[in-house]
Amino acid sequence: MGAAADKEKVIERPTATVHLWGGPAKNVVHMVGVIREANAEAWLTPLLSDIHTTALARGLKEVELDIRALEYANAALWRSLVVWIKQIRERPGTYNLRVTWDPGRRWQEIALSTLRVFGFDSKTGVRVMIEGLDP
Amino acid sequence: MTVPELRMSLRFFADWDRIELVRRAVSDSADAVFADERFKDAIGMVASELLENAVKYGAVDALVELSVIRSLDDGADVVEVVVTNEVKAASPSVDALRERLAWLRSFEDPVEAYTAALLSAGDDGSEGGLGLVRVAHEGRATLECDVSHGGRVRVSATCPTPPWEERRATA
Repeated sequence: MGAAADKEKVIERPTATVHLWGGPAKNVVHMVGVIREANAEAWLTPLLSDIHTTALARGLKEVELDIRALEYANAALWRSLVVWIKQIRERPGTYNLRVTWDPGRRWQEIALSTLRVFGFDSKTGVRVMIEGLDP
Repeated sequence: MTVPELRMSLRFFADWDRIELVRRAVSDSADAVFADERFKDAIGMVASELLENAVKYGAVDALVELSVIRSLDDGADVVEVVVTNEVKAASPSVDALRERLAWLRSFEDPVEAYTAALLSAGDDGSEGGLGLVRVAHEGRATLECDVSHGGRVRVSATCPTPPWEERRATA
């Protein structure tokens, strides 16, 4: 994958924005706003799947999902996120996922606490790390 | 009345874009009454998820009703969030709702249902009713539905008021 995949990219939705490939290591996916559309999976799941494909092509060791500025999300976010995590865990040699969240947004904490069931896959060695919740 | 009261009642046209307005109003109102961040988020989410179901599966261009009421009856201190909407006759969504609530009740702890629902996300291509499970887990709500009023579905979520003890999923 060429330089185009390394470039920062912005996905604009009516109430949410997703910034792709930010940060010094160009590995940060930053979600901002409110994800509340009817059937948000229709755009979110393919977007996360594209992120997965790009991360593999770039040989990233880690992708950071930053939802600190996500004010609210309906259940679609968690469904799409789980689909992404399952893709990551499907085979060895993929990358780890680090989730950065805002402790002031308690809805994030409750859902992410549950996502710790995906913490470490012994078959593939893939880790899903939830900042501040993992030991 | 010697305790703070929360009592909201709305009736509005089933329109997806209005749900976020209502979620914020419910959250902010709960914040004003209880001053608890966790409860504020939770009660807004409960209202939002129930309304999303009503708009998604209810009759088009119909009115949907929401009530959010603190109740101190029978020694309990709870907030009951109730959403009532019209459905088309013989709508399969009513059976799906009943089945989901029965499935939810088969778990001793809602966190187990939530974990099971998350683990199966995307497996069969269906949405899987995660919103209702989220209401039960994140809102600590007891869910009931009543479809006895021909053509109308009433879903209630009864949530204990704060302070809440910490409850986290075990990894």
